[in-house]
Amino acid sequence: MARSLRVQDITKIFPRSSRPALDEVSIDLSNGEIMALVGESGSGKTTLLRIIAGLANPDSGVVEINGEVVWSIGIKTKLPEERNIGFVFQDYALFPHLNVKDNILYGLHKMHPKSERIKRLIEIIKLTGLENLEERFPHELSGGQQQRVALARALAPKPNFILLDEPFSNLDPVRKDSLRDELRAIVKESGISALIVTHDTRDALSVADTLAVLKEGKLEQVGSPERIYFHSTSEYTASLFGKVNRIPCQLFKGEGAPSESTDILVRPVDLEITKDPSGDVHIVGKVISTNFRGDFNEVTLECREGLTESESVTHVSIYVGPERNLKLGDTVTVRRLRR
Amino acid sequence: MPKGLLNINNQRFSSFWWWLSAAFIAVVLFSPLTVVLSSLFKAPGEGWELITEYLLVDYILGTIIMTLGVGLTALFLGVGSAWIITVWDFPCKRFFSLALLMPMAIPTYVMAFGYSFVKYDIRDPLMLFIKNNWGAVIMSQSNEIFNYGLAILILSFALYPYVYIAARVGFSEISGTYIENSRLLGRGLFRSMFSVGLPLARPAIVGGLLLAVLEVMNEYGAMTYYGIETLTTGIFVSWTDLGDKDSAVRLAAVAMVFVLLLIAIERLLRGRAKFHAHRSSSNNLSGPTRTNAGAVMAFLFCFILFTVSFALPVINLCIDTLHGWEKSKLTDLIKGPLIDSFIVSSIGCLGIVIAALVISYAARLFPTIFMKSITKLCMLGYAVPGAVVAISILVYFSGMGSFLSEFLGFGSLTSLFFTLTPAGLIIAYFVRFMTPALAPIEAGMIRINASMDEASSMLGRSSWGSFFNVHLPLLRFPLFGAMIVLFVDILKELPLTLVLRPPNIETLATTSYGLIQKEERIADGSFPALILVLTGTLAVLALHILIRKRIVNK
Repeated sequence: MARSLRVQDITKIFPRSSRPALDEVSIDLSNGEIMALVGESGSGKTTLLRIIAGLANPDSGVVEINGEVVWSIGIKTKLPEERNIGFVFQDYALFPHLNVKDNILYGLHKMHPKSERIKRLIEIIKLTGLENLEERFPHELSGGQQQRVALARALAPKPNFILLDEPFSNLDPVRKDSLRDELRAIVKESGISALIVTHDTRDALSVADTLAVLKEGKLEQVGSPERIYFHSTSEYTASLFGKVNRIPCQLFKGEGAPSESTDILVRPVDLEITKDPSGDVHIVGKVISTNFRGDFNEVTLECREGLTESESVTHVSIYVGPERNLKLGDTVTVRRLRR
Repeated sequence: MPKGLLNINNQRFSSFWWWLSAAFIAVVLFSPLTVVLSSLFKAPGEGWELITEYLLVDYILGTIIMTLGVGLTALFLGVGSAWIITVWDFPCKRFFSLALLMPMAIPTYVMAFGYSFVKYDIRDPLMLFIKNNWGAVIMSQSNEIFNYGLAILILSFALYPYVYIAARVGFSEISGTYIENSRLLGRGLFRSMFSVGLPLARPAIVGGLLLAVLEVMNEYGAMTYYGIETLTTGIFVSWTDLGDKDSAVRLAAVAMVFVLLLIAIERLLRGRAKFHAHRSSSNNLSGPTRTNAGAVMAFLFCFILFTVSFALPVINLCIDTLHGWEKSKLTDLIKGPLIDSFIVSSIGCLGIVIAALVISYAARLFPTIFMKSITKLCMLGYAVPGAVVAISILVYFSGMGSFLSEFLGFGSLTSLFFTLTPAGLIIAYFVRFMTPALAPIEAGMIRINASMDEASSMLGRSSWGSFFNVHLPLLRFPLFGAMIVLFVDILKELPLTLVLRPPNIETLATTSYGLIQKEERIADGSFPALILVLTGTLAVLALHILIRKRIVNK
């Protein structure tokens, strides 16, 4: 598939800073793909976004848009206004003196004749569901509507791709989930690829086709949401996306070979309570706390004997349906689901 | 090339153009002032000895008495009225909160003309009486005291609004919770305002006071009207009467040192404390007075202040105007000074606003220490008295003329250009009045979020495109406000215009001053003065509406 964006070995060091903000980061964005750039604050995700947009320049590396190099050492840098990228700012940055219609038209100044512009305006208003709001000013819109205007403004000039900086952080938590799905639907329908920066892993999992995890300026892992969630390559990534149990175990390498101690990472949803202690690998533990979490209870088990022979105590979290009535002190047997 | 905020800006000439223009404007505005300061390090001429021996002490003493006298009186009037309006509810409070601003519409020297009857109907008979009873020596002494007292009062009437506005703003920015806390701790409203409100508003009040005192330093018309000698009038005397250019420049340098001293004192008084008002929903400090007598006192204070500082002088000017009214005067005035004034003011006003836009946008594109210093330098001219600016422009351009004639042979043409056209005058207005344009425009620029610039650039606009489509429309309120203030400032400007105007140009200010002060034709001079007051009044009202509209819009 053709690539909208290719970022290669980008390094950026801010003055008076001990470690690079970005350390040889490379990502590819295919046409029509939605990618989420995930990381804690200070991981360099916003810096990377600004470098792609041309609002900041890296120290080394290559930025390539639609096969054309726009930043590389020794090459004349393409300015932001020459890169044809849509950008949805965290605070939306809607022009307060322009109404919805004029905000969207702002980026269409190069489109001629005027009828062409109006055609695109109507098209984009329909796509983003902004009908009847054209004459409103930004301060007369709700947070979700403002986001749709920002999205419409970024998509209108048919950019090579769009960049979204923490698009969900300003939304009302109650409506956030539906607005997020709406955003994904709009971007997918437009056919324009998108790179979203977010620190909220829940948002990232549900909005993106591909996730890229950044840790302290380095790319940690890239892959589909399922892969990242269930097959994290590091404990950092695993715990970034949700609760994970670290369970010590013995690794048997066939008959007669010495066993090896190691830890495995298992998500609570990958563990289920079983009555049958025989057969498969299992853990026995005592319930020491239960937490009501709405759809399920989070139950913490204290396991003294487990897969290892050591005396150490391991705490294991499991998610249990509300129908199962577990009390403190109950002993349960847990086994791992096969995926 | 300098490094920019959106470090993209240093890569294209279109952005660098802004930087270059701003630097050019700063050089043009600032270099004349350096001429004056550098004169301090040159050997003095012969005339200077004469001045130090006979006149300098009087000039400095006069300047100190006037700045101190007007400063203290304006402080009392301004803070007092602001306090009354902030703290108490009384009849006509809303009217007075605007009406007490109105003296801003009256130029200081016009305020003096408005009190011409005191000079002729009270002072002269009084002095005659003193002379007849106690002799000429006593009379001349009491005459001087009388003049000083009158000048201090009249300048205070004209200038207290600077303190009034500053104090109102200062009081309004104090969070109501401070005052509420003080009251819950057992102090009354009045004492709470005194022990909490006043200290918190002090930086703002001192800032307003500085503006008023700088206006006293700048004052020429009212000083000569009452025969008071200050550094500013001294510059005129040695320049025109003594024909001693060197000494005039040295006096200007002394005046500038005096100004810098005043600014330093302001910094000192302001202290290290920079009170950041912590905002709260409750901002209403006012309450009813405890007794009806209190309400009457508050009303009377405001009523009397409004009467003496606005109503009385304006009515007197109207009477004087009607006194010798002929229809031909109107047409003469319109054909001459009125049109000249409006043309000169419009050109100056537009030019200055454009220059201020260029500087503030350049400072936004390149937020470097260099650009910040340029902005500060451009604002210096407002603190410098008009007479000093005038002298520095004259010396600077005549120096440039002789330099050009020596090396290129067309220097005399340059001198002619600056003496026969209003070019020199307009440049002088730039130097003196950059601040009223730059300050609000800069503040407006700061309020525009940086992501606006980035959004515009991501949507394919260059720095020019962003400027015209985003910044300019977002700045329309401060721009409009700056233009009103500038137009009136230039319209009523006197000392600069007196020195630098080409012979064929008369403004309303110079006409009025010439007729009343020089020729004592009060009836003829009152009419242009009245037009100045009228334009000023319209401007104050327009600004008031603008500010209210802005608040409502938010």
